[in-house]
Formats: sequence, structure tokens, C-alpha cells
Amino acid sequence: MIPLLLGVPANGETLGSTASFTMVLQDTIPATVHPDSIPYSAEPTLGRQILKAPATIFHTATLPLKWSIIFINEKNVLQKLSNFFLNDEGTAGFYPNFSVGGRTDFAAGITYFNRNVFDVGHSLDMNVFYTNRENFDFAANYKIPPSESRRYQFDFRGSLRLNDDQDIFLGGNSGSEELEADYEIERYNLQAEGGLLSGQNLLTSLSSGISHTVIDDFSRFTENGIPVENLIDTNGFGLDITTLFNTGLSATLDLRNAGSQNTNTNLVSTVTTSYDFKQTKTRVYSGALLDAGISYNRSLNNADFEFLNYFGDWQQFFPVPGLPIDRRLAFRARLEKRYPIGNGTVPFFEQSILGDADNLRGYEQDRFRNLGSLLLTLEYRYPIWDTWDAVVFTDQGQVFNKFSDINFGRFNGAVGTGLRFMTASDFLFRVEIAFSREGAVSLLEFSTNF
Amino acid sequence: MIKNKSNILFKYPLIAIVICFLGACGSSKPYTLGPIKTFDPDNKNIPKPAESEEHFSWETLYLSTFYQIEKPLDLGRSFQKAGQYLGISGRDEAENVNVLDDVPNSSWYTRRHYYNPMSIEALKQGPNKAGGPDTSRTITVIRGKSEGVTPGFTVKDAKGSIFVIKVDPPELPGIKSSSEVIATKLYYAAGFHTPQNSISFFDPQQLAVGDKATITKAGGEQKMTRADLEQILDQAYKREDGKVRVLASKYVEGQPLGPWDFMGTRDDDPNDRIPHEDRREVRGLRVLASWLNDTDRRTANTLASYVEEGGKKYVRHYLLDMGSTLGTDGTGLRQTKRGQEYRFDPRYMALLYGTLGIYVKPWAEPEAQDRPFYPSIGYFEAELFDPGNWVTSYPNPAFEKVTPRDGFWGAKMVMSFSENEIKAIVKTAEISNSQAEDYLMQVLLDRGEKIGRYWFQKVNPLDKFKAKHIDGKLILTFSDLAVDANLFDSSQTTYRYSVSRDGKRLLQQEMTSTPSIEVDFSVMQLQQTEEPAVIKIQIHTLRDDKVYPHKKIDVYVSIENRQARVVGLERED
Repeated sequence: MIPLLLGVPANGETLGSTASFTMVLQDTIPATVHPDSIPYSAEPTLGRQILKAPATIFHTATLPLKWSIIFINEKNVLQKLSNFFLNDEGTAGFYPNFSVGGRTDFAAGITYFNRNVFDVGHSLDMNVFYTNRENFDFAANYKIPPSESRRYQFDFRGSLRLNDDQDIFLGGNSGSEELEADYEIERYNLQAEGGLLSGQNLLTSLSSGISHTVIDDFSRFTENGIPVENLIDTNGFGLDITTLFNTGLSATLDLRNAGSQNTNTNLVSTVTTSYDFKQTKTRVYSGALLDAGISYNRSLNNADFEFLNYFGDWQQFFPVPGLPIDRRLAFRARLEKRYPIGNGTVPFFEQSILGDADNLRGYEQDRFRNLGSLLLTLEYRYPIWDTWDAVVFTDQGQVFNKFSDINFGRFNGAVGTGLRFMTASDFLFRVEIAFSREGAVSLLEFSTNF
Repeated sequence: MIKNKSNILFKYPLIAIVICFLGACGSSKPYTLGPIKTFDPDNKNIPKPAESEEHFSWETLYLSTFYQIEKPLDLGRSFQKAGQYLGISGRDEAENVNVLDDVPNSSWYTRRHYYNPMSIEALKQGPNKAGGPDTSRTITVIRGKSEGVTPGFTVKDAKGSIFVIKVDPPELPGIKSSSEVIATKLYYAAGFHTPQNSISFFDPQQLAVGDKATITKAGGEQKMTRADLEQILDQAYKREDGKVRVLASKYVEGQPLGPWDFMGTRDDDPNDRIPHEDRREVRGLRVLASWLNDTDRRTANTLASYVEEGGKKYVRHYLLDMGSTLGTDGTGLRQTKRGQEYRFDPRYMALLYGTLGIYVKPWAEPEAQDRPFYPSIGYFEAELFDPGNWVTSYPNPAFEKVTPRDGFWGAKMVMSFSENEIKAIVKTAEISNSQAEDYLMQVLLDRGEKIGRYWFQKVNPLDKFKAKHIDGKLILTFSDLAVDANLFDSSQTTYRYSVSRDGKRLLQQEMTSTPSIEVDFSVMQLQQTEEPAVIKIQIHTLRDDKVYPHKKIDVYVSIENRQARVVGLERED
């Protein structure tokens, strides 16, 4: 042991003291310039600095985001925005909204909500989505929700929709995808619904409403401007002005078990204070939901349109044997049928349609339409993170004129995969990609399909 | 011509890349003929650096995403990794280790228990120089915090000492305060700077709200009232006698500058020369943190303090807030996934996605989720603990760079605590349930054993080499840390060694059954020159006659004037 040093004085401190670091430990020797007087340094070589350039450039590119986040936190921007958009109780206010995909590529809007109208717990939603003067939606919804002492609810809806460039496949359902043509729609809708909640699981509703639809610029040319050959007869299609009255009855039986119950009544436009089984449960892992309804529809300005519309929807959920319950299969079968009464017909925009983010994915919007449709969906859903689910799915659907047309060989199929993002108790949005024989379609939707 | 030009265009970048690649792969002499460095003088007088803030949202986002993209874009780092896999370059080792592969003292670290075993009393005392707050007189509350994950307040006792007070949740008595006290003392004994944390019991009546006391409420600062204090105390665990059990954390010395980062250096501190992620003690901290399940070991829970000592003002680096250790996450029970995966972990997301969810994370299994626990301990276990895969809640740049040598360093800190020493420290946490206390002890021991078994097979776990010359013989003694930790029995252990000098093998395949090697000077063919002779002794460890781990260690011994000295170590990893 040589407890000597040069360059720095020894002061006899014991090991472990933070008072001084100037001692030299026993495994060292004297030196003219003791290394303990020379600080460590780790200057990177020029070569390392050059090689780090891509990382440095990338890092620099992230700085504006960093500054933004820091600014937002330091200035409490989110809280201020919340204060600006919401009332003190958080029961009413505005929030911005947007939509990607769907009937237009992009739409932005604003929603006003009030969950305590007149201080009696009624609910009001008004939202507008705007793409341009030819494409926008406005909707208003007033609800009187059920309460502990009241088992019924009322729901009043009104909407205005303007869309150009809507899809119709003039070659028919078995025709080429290239025979896609466009039409423009202007639609006003008023609907009233009364519901009775029986127990915790059964909702019976009676509804009635009126819609006014104007169809313009029905093109006989495809999107590429090519004249459509062998155009189907469009007589009775409803390519004009149609005012329809409807009234109907429906029942929903919810026997699903879920990972969480949605309690959010504010910042999600799809969530309501009235009972809507489809929106109240997240990560359903077992049980079933049965939904059925029938409505009568009659044209008020054109006697050609008179039909019944009935549907049945069966959703069944079950865990995969041998795996945790959050790995679950979701099966859905949905049957819709329009039944013309007498000599009446069904306008094309009221027909049963497949080809949408909520039913037959992997095809163009509104790809298939007829008096009836059958959709079968099987999804395997499993969590990959706290609030993220992955999904692998197949959709099989066909449209038909009469039930006897239903045939195993006529199914149009698609397969796909995607991710679903949630909060602790609420569905936020999903991204999916679906593949069919007509190509691939990617989706970003702010509502679940089922 | 065109062809030649294209060749030139091709050649120069290639040359540049090769040069850069070679620049990325450096090497240096593994020993010194001078003194061994034992102190890094990073305590030179500097002007006060600016105060910094933690940006939690950005930090977590950045480290979880952008930083993970940046890493492979650092081509030097990527080339080094590639070279490492190809066997043409070494690992990206820590920058502040001496030739004995050890950490000198600095403003970050002080060699303590491993290097010079502390007494039981010193271990129990830990960093606490003067105990907790003076509870014999009125304690004045000077600041309150009713929001955030940890409600608490700041007090000044009759002696003028200031303490940050944190309370335990009523349903989990003592869980937080005991975790914090135990972790603080273990970190301190391992060599880190920590605050003085202790458990105290306050009679609510002896707390008085100061005239100038403020409290943070609804995002703003307000005057604090007795009702505010009562509201905080309502959220606290109280003993049967009505006293509130609290964790009292004394303000650290110096002027706080805010947290230090686990990456890069501080621009306004000239003493700060080593990127923090390249400091051995900061990397090795991961192993200690894994032992204690300190998943919240992030920037926010550190402190740089501008201290004055010996007439010099410099920055000292502290670890703070050990409240998210052992079985608690700082507020309540720890989730089973903490320590197993990052809060946002693309690795497991990809694994789950790719396997269609058929893979089930062991800590997500029902038997792990529903495991019984002691309320005063929380979820702290050793069965699922995996030292190699343990992670903090968010990626920690220094922890991500841990090499086998860094891990070995951290493991030797962990394994330096004997059962009795751990027990003595655990006792200071005043856990009222003796069964819970025993359970905690056992888990600490079991996790420690797992750490030893994991990291001590990454390198040859021999250390504390000493060379001396006695009776014409060079005697090299050392400690086998795996035997010292009872991971292996000395009777099943032998050491195979060879001796060489200037590349010439002098002795080969010699065996010894004790951690001591004797070499006759005559074997070494020493010449009478002024230059010291450097002998390399290469050692393999054998357990039950089989080399384990398959890692050698080269020990360099300088012999000069018949004096022997260990001057270098090279651990194969």
C-alpha cells in the first residue's frame, strides 16, 4: 500500500465521505501528474460526429414538436382550451371534430353538446361537418334520457346532408368496378323515437319520421368520363325529388359482458345519455346482442314508393378457449330486406347497401345494392396494449332481390386487419386495412362497426 | 474518363466510411504503468448553472418514440453494434472507468459499502446525519400539495430544518414510506447521493399552518388553510394513537438546479464532460434499480444541486424520490407489468400482434394478476423478475446502454449486501407486520440472487485483485463474487490460469482451488532494467470442473523493484 500522491493533496478522508474527493486509494502510486487531477473527458471523434449526422438531423426535426409540447404544458393550454370550450361543470360546450375517409376524404366540423339542458338532465347535440359547399352535414339531436325513476326515453333527430360525387355502380352488383358513376344527393331528415327500457337489457322503441331527398346530376358516365354501356334501366330509381314517411318498431336485447362500461358523456360525440346499447360497452368478451326492427315507408309525393323495411342483427361474442378472456371472437350476422308493397318500389338510395366501413370492408363505398343484403362478419379481437386492440377480420356479404337468390357462391368476401384505440372506458377510433378481389381499402373511423 | 470519375466518386465516400468505421472502433492499452485513477476531479469551482425543469410529457414521448428512431440513425453506434456482432469491435463501454474497470469517485458517486464495508449502524443510518423532523415541538407547514399523484406538504421544524412530507395511503399502511426509506439507504450504501429520508409520526395537532403557507390547487397557488391540511391528512394512514405516519425527506444541501438528465451533458457545467448515458455508475444503477423495482427512475426523480465545499462551488448529482420502489408505484399498488415492460412498449405490441395474442405475457396471467399481497408491501415479487429484461416505466437512455461489464458492476453493488445487512436496513422501515417484513426480506434476497446469477455469468465474476511479492513469489489474490454470494460453493470451484509476458506464454493451464495464485519469480524471467515488467495472468473459473462462465479475465501485474501491483484488468464479455 502506497498512500501517497502528487498533484493533489491527501487529506486523510475516509472512504464514503462526500466531503472531499481528493484522496487516492490504495491501489495507486506516486506520479508527476496524477491521473486524479485530470478529469475524464469524452469528446466524440470527428468520424463519430459525422456518422451521427442523420440522428442529429432527425433530432433537430423533432424540436418544434418538443417546443410545442413544452409550451402547451407550461402555458396550460389544454386547460385553457377546456375552459374556453366547456362550461365550469364540464356538462356543456363546444369541441372541434374531424372525419377522415367516409363519404368525403376529409371533413372538419364543430360539435355543441349540452348534457343538462334546462337543468333537468336532457341532452342536446348539434354538429356540423364541412368539406365544401357541395359536401356538408348538419345534425341535431335532443334526448330525454331514462332515469332511476323513469324507464322510458325520447329522442328527436334532425339532419341535413349535402353530398356530391356519391357512388353508384351502374353495371349492377356483378358488373365491373369500372362502371362506377356519380350522383349528388340533398337530404333532410326528421325523426322521433320513444323507447322503453325493460330491465337492464331490453330496449323497445317506436319511431316515426320523414325524409326529403333530392337527387341531381345522375351521371351516365363513369368517374373517368367514359359513357356507361348497357346502362341498367333507371326508371323507378328515384332520381328526382322524394319525400318519404316512415314509422317503425324495434327491439334490442343486450346480453353482452364487457371489460368496461362507458361512462363518458362529454367529449365523444357518439356517446349519449340516453340508452344506446351499442355505445355503452367496450371490449365485449362474451354474450350476445340481438337487434331487430321493422318500419313502414311510403312516399308522400310519389305513389310509386311504398315498402316495408325489416332487419335482424345478431352479434355473438365468445372468448377463445385456452386463452385469456380478452382474446375474443366477435361474430355478426345482419340481414336486411326491403319489401315493396303492392306496385310500389324502393328508391335506389333507400336500398340495402353493402360496401362501407361498417359492413363489407375492402370494397368501394356503396359497391353493392339491392332490396336485401346479408352480411356475415367474423372478427378476432385481442389486446396488444392497455387500450389498444388488434383485430383480424373477414367480411362476407351479398345483396339480393329475393331470399331465394341467397347463395353460398354469391358472397363477396374481404379479409383485413387493424387496430382499435380506446380510452379506459371509451372507444376512440380504428384504423383498418381490408383486402378484397377488387383491391385494398384503408379506413380510419371514429366509430366501431359493432 | 467517366468510369474513372465514378470510381473516384465511389471510392472517397467508401474511404470516408471506412475511416469513420475505424474511428468508431477504438482500443487502448489495458493497463497503466502510472497511478490508478481513483477520483475524477469534477468538483472544480464553477459559476452557478441555470436551473432546469423536467418536461414529463415530452420526455416520455421522446424516449418512447423519437429516441428509439434516433438510435439506429447514429451510424457510429450502429456500425459499432454491427462490428460487435461481427467480432471486429468491442462494446460501447462506459467512459469513466479506470484500468481496473471500476468507477472513480466523483460528484456523482462515492465508493462505499462494496469497497469498504460499512458497519451495520452505518448502513442503518444511511445518509441521515441528524434524523427526521423535531417532533417534540410545533411543526410549521409552509407549503401544501393537494394535487398530483402524491399529496403532501413541506414543513419547517423548530430547528429550522425543512422537510418534504409524503403520506401513506390509509388502505396500504406504510407502503410508501417504508419503500422509500429502504431504497434510499441501499442506494446510499451503494455509493449514490441521496436525500435524508426517514419515517416520522406526526400528531396532527402539532402541525401548524404557517402564515405565508401556500398550496397548489386548481392549477394555481393559493393561501393554505387548516382545512387544506386536514384534507391532505384525511388521505393519510394514521396509527391507532391517531398519529400520522409520514416519510420526511430533508432538503438536500446546496441550491437545487432541477433534475439531471440520463443522456448528454449539461452545457453550463464545465465539470460535466462525460455523457451521462456513458457513465458506469449511471448505467450500473439499472441493476440496483431492478433489484428494488425502481421503475420510476427517470429524469424527474433526480436532482442537480449547486453545493459549496472546501471553498469550491460545483454541481453534485442526487437520486431523488424512491417512492415508486418495491411494491408500490408511489401512490398505491404497483401493477404487475411494471418492471416487465415499458408503459408504451412496441416490442410487446409487435409480439402480441404477430402472435395473434396467443402469446400471453407471464405478468398478465391471472395467477400473476390475482396474486395475494401484503398491504404494507404491495406487489413485489421475485418469481417473474428477470434481471436481464427488467425495464423502467419509460426507456432510460443510460439503462439501455448497459453492457455486461456495467451490469457486473451494478450486480457487485447489489451482492455486496449480506442477509443481515439487508435485514438491518429493512428494520429501519418500521413495517408493523412481521410476516410482511419477512416476505419483503425474502423477495429482496431472491431478486438479489437472480441478479447475481444473471450478471455474474456475463463476465468472470472475479474482483478485488491484489498483488504482492513474498519470498520470491508473486501472489495474486482475488475475490470470487459468486462464491462470496453463495451462488456457488468454494468446494466446487477451481481456477485455471496461465501467465504470459510480452505475448510469450510462461505458464499455462495451471490450477488452483483457492482464489490465490502464486507464481515463482524465476518463471517470469525478469531482467534488471529500469522499465517495470508487466505480467499478464489469464484466469478462467471452473465450477464442477467445467469452465463457467465461458469468460476469461486478464489481470495485468506490474513488477518493479520486486514490488508487485495490479495495473489493469480486462474482462471478456
